[in-house]
Amino acid sequence: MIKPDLIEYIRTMIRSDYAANESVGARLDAEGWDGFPRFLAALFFVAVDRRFGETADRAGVIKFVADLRAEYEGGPEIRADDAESLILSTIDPSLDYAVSQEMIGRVQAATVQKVFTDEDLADAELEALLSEAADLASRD
Amino acid sequence: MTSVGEVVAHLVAIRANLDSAAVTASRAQADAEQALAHLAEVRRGGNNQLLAAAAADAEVARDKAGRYARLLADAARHISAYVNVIAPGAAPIDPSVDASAPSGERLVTEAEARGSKADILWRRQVQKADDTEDALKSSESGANQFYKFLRQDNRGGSSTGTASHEPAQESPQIDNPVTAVVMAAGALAVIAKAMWNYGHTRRTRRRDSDDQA
Repeated sequence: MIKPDLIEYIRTMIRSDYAANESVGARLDAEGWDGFPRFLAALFFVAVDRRFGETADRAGVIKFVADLRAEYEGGPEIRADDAESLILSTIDPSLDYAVSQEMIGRVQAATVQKVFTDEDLADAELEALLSEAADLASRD
Repeated sequence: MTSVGEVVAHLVAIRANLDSAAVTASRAQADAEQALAHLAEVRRGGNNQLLAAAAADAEVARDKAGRYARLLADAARHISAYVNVIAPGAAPIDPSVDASAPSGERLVTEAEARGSKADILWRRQVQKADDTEDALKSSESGANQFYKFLRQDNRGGSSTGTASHEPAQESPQIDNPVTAVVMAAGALAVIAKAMWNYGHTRRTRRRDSDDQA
């Protein structure tokens, strides 16, 4: 079961409600971020699946990562080769990757943000995506 | 007398067998899952009792095979953690490239289900954190660096609030009991190594705190 505040944290970030996001973040700092790495990994899976589907399109991934890096320039460094290999291995898990957990977190967060904000998602659609990720992150 | 090396060799061999058994169980799980899907197609609209019984059995088999696969994989990881305590680095450190690993291409081709794929990817991330002794919490930290940047970037660079969102680098907390066991095993190895490396410091510190108590 994913904490509602973790879902709210991502929801407010995707909706660019930074004041609300900051207050949820402060609550999570107090209560603990338990379950966040897995929820983020599930969101990343959902986002990559939504953007790329089941087929590893290397050229498409390279273009996506280039756009991602340009869009969030000035933020924490997102290494192109790390982001590409992480996304490609999510599309096709037979492909391996060697990326630090910290970089994994950056790539996952940035990818989720980009995929979910590039489209102008209706509320119901965003809720469905968040809910699917929460379900995936709650599996035994 | 049996040497440490012989014990380690035995344990590594046992671990390999467990990994292999885990794959077999995972395959059985995937096969049962596929059989269920096909049965559902065939049964659509019908109400044959024998087919209903077949579906019920396949469902139980799928769940049990999945459970066996997880337990076998956990047993293997516990052995690795133990081996790495008594002989650091002796146990396989990257089972995901091992042919017997219950993840990767072999399983994905067999378990097409979306949830299974997400599970496999998550287990791999956990395993990598475990193998490299890189705390899974670091991914949380990386994500929050990015989110902090977004908040500041969109508010004219002003840093408001007191929340640092920089989690402590401690062993990860995971809700999932299976991964929690895996991480507990990894944490044990990390703690043991830290104790070896910094044993003197720890003893000194403990003595100091005892003195103060």
